[in-house]
Formats: sequence, structure tokens, C-alpha cells
Amino acid sequence: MTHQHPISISVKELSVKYQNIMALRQVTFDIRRGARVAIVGPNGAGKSTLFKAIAGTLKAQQGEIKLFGENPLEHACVAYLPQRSQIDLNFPVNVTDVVMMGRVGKMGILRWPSRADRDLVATSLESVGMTQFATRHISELSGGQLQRVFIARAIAQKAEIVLMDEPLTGLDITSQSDIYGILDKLREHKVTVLVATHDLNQAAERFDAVMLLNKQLVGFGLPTTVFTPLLLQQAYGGTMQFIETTNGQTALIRN
Amino acid sequence: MIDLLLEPLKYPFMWRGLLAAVMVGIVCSVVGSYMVLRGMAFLGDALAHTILPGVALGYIINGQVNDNIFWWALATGIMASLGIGFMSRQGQIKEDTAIGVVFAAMFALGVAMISTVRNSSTDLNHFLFGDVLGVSNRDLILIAVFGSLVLLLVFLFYKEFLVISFDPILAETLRIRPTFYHYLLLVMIPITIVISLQTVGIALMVAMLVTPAATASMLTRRLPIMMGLGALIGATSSASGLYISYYVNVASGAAMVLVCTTMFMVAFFLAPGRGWLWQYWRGENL
Repeated sequence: MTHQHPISISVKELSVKYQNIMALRQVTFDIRRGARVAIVGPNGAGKSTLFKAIAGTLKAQQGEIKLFGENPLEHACVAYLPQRSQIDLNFPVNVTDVVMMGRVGKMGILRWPSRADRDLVATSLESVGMTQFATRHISELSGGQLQRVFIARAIAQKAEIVLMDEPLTGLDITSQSDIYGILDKLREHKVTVLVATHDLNQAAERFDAVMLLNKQLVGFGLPTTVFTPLLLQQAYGGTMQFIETTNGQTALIRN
Repeated sequence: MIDLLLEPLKYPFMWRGLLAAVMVGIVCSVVGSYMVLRGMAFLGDALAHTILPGVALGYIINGQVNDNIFWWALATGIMASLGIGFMSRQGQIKEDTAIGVVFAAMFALGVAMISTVRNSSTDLNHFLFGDVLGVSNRDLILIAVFGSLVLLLVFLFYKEFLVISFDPILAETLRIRPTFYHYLLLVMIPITIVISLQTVGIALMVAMLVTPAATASMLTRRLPIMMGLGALIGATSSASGLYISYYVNVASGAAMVLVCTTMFMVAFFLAPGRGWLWQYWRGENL
């Protein structure tokens, strides 16, 4: 079932504790369906906490999250893509096994993968260009290929909101642009994609909107309105210097 | 050769022991696959030890080693397992710390209880190192029933256990209740341990759970094959351990574990592509 509600993620005055520390305070924003948003901010800014709260794995201390206008716990439409480091690469599963995991929730208890599930897994792998890797073990994949497999899993899951925690860290430029190509296809299908990243340049160039986070919401909107010296200073503190380039953009330089 | 295999089986206690050893070898290896993948080896070792006070209580109440010990051990093992799970989920202490605390406390309690009984050392030995030749027909039925139950649960919830083991966050976003399956595993592990008690005993239990599965993990990259291969390795090493103990007159539990460890060492060094020698050779020739 696809949701027609124009706002995919609506967050109101959200405060979330993570490991006994208030990791997010009074965050409020709406993200429209199908948008691609970059979440930027220093380490410990609450990016992962925000993702976990949206995915429903962390409880809100205060405030609320609505997905397509409904309680997130009633939804299984969110895909949270793990970082390579969070996965045991020696785990005895191949690419198809990993993508099939996206179907487990919808299959239901005491059911085995049907023909339709297997077909969906095959088309998901095809849409990320990983068909020829279907029977490979996950340890044989490069970082970029592994990300593509996890995106295929999100597609197989029929996720309408995809959360990616630093998916591009350590990838070469070709792999990065492959991933952006796949994300473009997701946008055509009105899938909302949130990407936590440290790369401000890509955040400015490749996304519909950027969210600047430092435990609180510092700025949210078009890159040109958010990446201003003032707001960047607020998020990253005094160790950064900002230079206005000739074409009117702001460059960020470490002191 | 056939004669050597058949000769011990003229004694009923030998074929009962063999049947028990093979069943236990299979169940331990299948459940052990998840323990190896989820890093639960220490939990397995600890849980084996925590059932001692249950065994001791049954022993004291009945005045001898008898069939009721199974139920006392089972209740104690499940309680200890769920207790460890509960303590570590509160987020105030780490799981291995919770395991350490409960493990030592329960084992101490068991030793204290047994020490109050005279002539306790022989019986304590049975619990610690197993008594596979003392397996009764009723024991065989209990092993078969509870072993099948555990295997059935592994089979029925295969995909759920796979997801919670590989990617717990995915399990939560798919709303498949990872906590429920985690606790289910925490019940299946003590059941497995208690049905294996007579075969290998408390002290060597962890080897039955971990070593066959670890050996299989060196030889395959697919979970169903790892479980099947682990079961084969577990059953074979249990059976051959029993034969070795018959002909060479060594403790059967120890013989089973040593056979299995030998298989593991061979796999660890020689496994195609992933064994140490293979890696070393490839590294040298790069």
C-alpha cells in the first residue's frame, strides 16, 4: 500500500534521550513525500538518534512523530540502512538472502518466501544493478555494492521512507554517483530519503533540502538558505571559518 | 571394521548412549549455530553451569540421581537465562557482566548445596562430566521430545531468527518483535543444555554448542548448510567419541569434545579459501 499523504515525516517538538543523554531537543519539522533530505551536523549532533526515533526503535521523551499522518508504530514502511561497520561481514548469508530479509515482515509468521517474494527480490536486485551478484557472499562485495544491496532490500521491503546513515563514507566517486543514480530512481517512486552525511558539498548539490542539526534543529530548508555562515557557525562552533566564493556560495574551512 | 562398530552395541546401555549422543550432537550444533553467529559462547558456558543448583535441589529432594532432576535443571536453567536477559536489557550493566554475576552465583549455590550431602563427589562428577552410559529409556524420550521441540522452533522461526541475528535494527523496523525472539532463544538454549547434561556434563557443554557450529562456519557461507553440516559434525564426533571411550577407556564426554576439536582444528587450518594455511599461502604469493 502506498500512502498519498503529502507529508511523509512530521516531527513536533521531539526530544529523545539516548544512553541517558538528551540527544535531541525540541525538534520540529515536516518533510514532504518523495523529498531527498541531507542531515548534517557534527558528531553527536543526534543524526542517528533522529533516525532511530523515526524508525521507531527509540522512544520519544517528549513530542511526537507522525509518518503519513499516522503513528509510526503502526507502520513498517521505514527502511534503516546500516553502515558497513554495523554488519558482520562473515555472517553466512548471500546477496539474495539479505534482500529477502526485507520481505520477512510482510510474509508473516510461519510463512516461507513465495514466488512473488522471490520475483520482487530479483527485480529489486535488478533495479540497483546487482543481479549478477545475487549468489555472492556479502564479504565479497565492495562498500558501494553492499550499499546497493541494502537499497535493494529497502525496495523489496517496499519502504516509503529510507534512512541512510553515512552511506557514502569511504566510497570512491564512481560508487558515490552510482548510489545517487539509484536514489534518483527512488525519488521517481516518491520514496522519501534521508541521508546523514558529513559532506556539505554533496549535501548542497545533490539534495532537495538540508537539515542542520546540533541536538537542536539549527536550520532546515534549501541549501542556500541553510548553509549560511551564521547557521554553520551555530552547528559546528567556532573552529570553522567561512569564505564567500565568487559564485556566491559559502565554503567551509577548518581553522 | 563393521565388527568394531557393532561389538559395543550388544550392550543396551551402549546403544542408548549412542542414540543420546547422536541426538544431542545434532540439537546442540543447530542451536549452537545461532550462538556462534550472535557471539553467545560465554552465555552457553555460563548457562550450563547455572543449572547446577537445580540439579542439586533435585538430588537432595529425591536423595539420589533420578529422572526428576531433568525438570529441576530445566526450571533453573530457564530462570537463569531469562534473568541474565532481563538484567542486561536494563542498560545499566553489560551482558557479559550480567552473565558473570549470575553464572558464578548459581554455580556457587549448587556447589554449596551438594557439599551438604555426604559422598557427594562421585555424583558431582556425573553432573560435571556427564554419564552417557547411564542414559535410561525415559531419558531418551525426554531428549527426543525436547530436542525435536527445539529443532522445530529453529525451523518455524528460521527467518525471524536470521533477521534478529544479522540486523537487529531491521527486525525492529519490520516490527517482527526482536525482543520476543531473543527471549525465545534464551529459553531454547537452556532446554538444549539440559537434554545434553547426561551426555557431556556441565563443564564441557560449551564445546558441544560452539565447536561443531564453528567448524561448519569455516566450511560454508550459507546458514542452512552451516546448520546441517554442524549437525553432521556434532553427531559424528559424539558417536566416535563414545566408541573411542569404549575401546580406549577414556571419559566419554571428554572424548567427544576432543574429536570435535580435532575436526575444528583441521577446518581452521585447512578449510578451502578460509583456513589459516590457505590465507597464509595466498598472502605469501601476492
